[in-house]
Amino acid sequence: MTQYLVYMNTILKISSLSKAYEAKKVLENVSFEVGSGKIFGLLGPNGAGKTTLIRIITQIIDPDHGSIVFDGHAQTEEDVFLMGYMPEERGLYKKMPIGEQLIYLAQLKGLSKSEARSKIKKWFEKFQISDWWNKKVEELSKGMQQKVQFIATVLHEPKFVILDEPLSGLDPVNADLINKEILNLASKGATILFSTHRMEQVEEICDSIVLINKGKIVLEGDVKDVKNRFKENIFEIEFEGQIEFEKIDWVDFTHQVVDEHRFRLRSKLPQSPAKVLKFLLESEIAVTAFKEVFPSLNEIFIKSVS
Amino acid sequence: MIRKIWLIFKREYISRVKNKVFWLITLLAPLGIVAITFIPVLITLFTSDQQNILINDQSGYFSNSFTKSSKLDFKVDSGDLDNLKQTYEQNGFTGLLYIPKIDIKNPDGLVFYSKNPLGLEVKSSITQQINKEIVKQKLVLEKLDPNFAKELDINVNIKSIIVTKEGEKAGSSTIGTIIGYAGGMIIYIVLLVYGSLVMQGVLEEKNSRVVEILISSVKPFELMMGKILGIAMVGLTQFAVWIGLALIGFTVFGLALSPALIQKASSASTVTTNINSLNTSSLSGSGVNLSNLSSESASSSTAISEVLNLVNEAKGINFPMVVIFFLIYFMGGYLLYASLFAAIGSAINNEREGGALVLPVMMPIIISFMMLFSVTQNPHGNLAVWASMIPFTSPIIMLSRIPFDVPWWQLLISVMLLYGGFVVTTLFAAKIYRVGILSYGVKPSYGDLWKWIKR
Repeated sequence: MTQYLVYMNTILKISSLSKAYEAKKVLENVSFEVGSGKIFGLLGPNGAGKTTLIRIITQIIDPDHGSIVFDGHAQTEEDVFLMGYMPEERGLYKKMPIGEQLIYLAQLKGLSKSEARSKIKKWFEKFQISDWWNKKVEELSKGMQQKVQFIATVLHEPKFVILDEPLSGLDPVNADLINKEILNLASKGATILFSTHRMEQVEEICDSIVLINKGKIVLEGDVKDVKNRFKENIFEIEFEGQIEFEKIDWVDFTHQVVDEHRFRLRSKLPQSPAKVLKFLLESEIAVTAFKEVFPSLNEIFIKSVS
Repeated sequence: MIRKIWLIFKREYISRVKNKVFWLITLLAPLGIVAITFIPVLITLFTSDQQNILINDQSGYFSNSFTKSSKLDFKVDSGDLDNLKQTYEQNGFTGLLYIPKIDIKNPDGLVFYSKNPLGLEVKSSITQQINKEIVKQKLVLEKLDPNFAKELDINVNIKSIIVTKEGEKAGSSTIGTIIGYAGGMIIYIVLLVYGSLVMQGVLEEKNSRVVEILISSVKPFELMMGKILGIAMVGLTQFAVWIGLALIGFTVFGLALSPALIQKASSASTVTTNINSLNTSSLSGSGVNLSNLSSESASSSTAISEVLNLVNEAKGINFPMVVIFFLIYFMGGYLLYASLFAAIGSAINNEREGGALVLPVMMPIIISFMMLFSVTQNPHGNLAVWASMIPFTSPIIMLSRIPFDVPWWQLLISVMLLYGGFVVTTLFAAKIYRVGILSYGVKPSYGDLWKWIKR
């Protein structure tokens, strides 16, 4: 797909990015933009090239071709200070005290020691883990380590946060906690690049997505637009009383009864909901509820990838 | 870049120096060396382990030949051998020496009876005293003055003088060899130990997956250099502690021990004086121990003059230069190899996989160590000169040559090649490292590493 969304304020613009390892093409001519302050979903099955793409954005590896514009300028080495990255494979020094470790990681991101210390304290209070300063990572459970990892990623208040499967392995309580913090960051103006294959999470929090498969972009856009693009003109109607379906002239519609108070309509041509509703009312159906049925991202994902 | 390397360096250094194990090793290693060196000396100094030897002399030559020493006492008895064999132990003797009626021109048939095997020291002491008496008897046979034997106790010392344009100065062959050998050996050990530390450190960061977070903030090269330099500093700290301990040790224990040592040396020399006429070849009959004995007796009889010689020779050694070049070659050698060890550590998934890959890196270090002996024997030979130029062997080999006045141009070329070599290995290693730290699962071959370099 060569046509892509253009945002008013773009924080990241990726153009014609390609990367190959020996003969294997991992990324092929990938281009997309990420709008400033958005929560952006980077989706794709395992081995699609997501991690490679993220590593190029974080300057861990160089692309073979293509360019990246970050915050309005060609990417520079200093831009890593404005990024926070939480890799899918989490990792911290097992034997280093957590407080010291976070200070060190923040210093590598350009913070001074005292800045880092006061920020860490705030996060510790927020997560109610103030007594963890001298604990070692190996003493913590996996979920608790993830909290520390999250703090390490966002401590330096990056403009651009990359989270690779941030909620995997978390219990519902902690997943909710991190989820809220992600939304909180976005509300404060940070852009989040959220890489996952858990579609329900994407649907819940992402503004727009890009779906890559086998190194190529197969789909991208606002979540709403994407769903619109994949809609099949299906409407679900709830009604009162009885309907004699065989007596109605369905014109361009086909119908399917769901249960005694619900049925679905599928239009052969794209129809606006208003027109459909008008048709239903003209057909003297006692509508109590009406909605257009959109495919879930999961369905779109499977459809696009297979 | 400098700030990031500095941060990584600092973390590496502090986390290692804060570790209790570091201090345990740093403090226990010299204690261990001191213990290994001095405990046997102390034991011999402060324990009297006197042995009484019964001599059954049937020849009649030896009734007055045996002199008592701090360790050995003798009693001559010309009684019946079989009787003595039964009773020597009950009478408090550790052994029984049987001397038959011998032909002084061809002495043979001596037997030592004891419960435990004859110790080397006791054996050589007894043989020396017998040999001395036989020499006397031979002189008598030739109608010469038996006291002439003393005149045959010759010991020539050769003083080494180095002639340079600036003038003459004391040479330093023995002490030079010792210092050269020790220096080379220390470099050998630290290269292997600190190289392995670097490898383990890299592997640890890779396996704990913290590396991906780190290299999203810093360049792999910065991470590698910070780690390498941090560990180098740990090494220098360790040396500093050891040098400090050594200075304290020499001052405190040196003062306490030196009178005892001098006494020991002088008593050793009195035991064996005047029995050095063994170099005459007439004793071919019992010639098996001859060469052995002559060197032993020579060394012990001249213990004091030897020590004085060494002290004089040591004055000819430029110790500050040795220390400076030790640091130059330690740093150069360490830097040259550390990046290679880092590259291997980045490529493997666990330490077991490291063995095959790390062997080619360790090989030159081990080969240098094997060359060390012949280099200190011939410090200006072809092998020594060439091996002290090649960066992979020069840290060990050149350091071992330093006490032998290496021409300055050789030093210059060697140091330049070493540090140039460090830049080259680091460039190659950084390329492997950059790919290696993100590669999991497959154990790479040297072919794969080469592909990574070309990538």
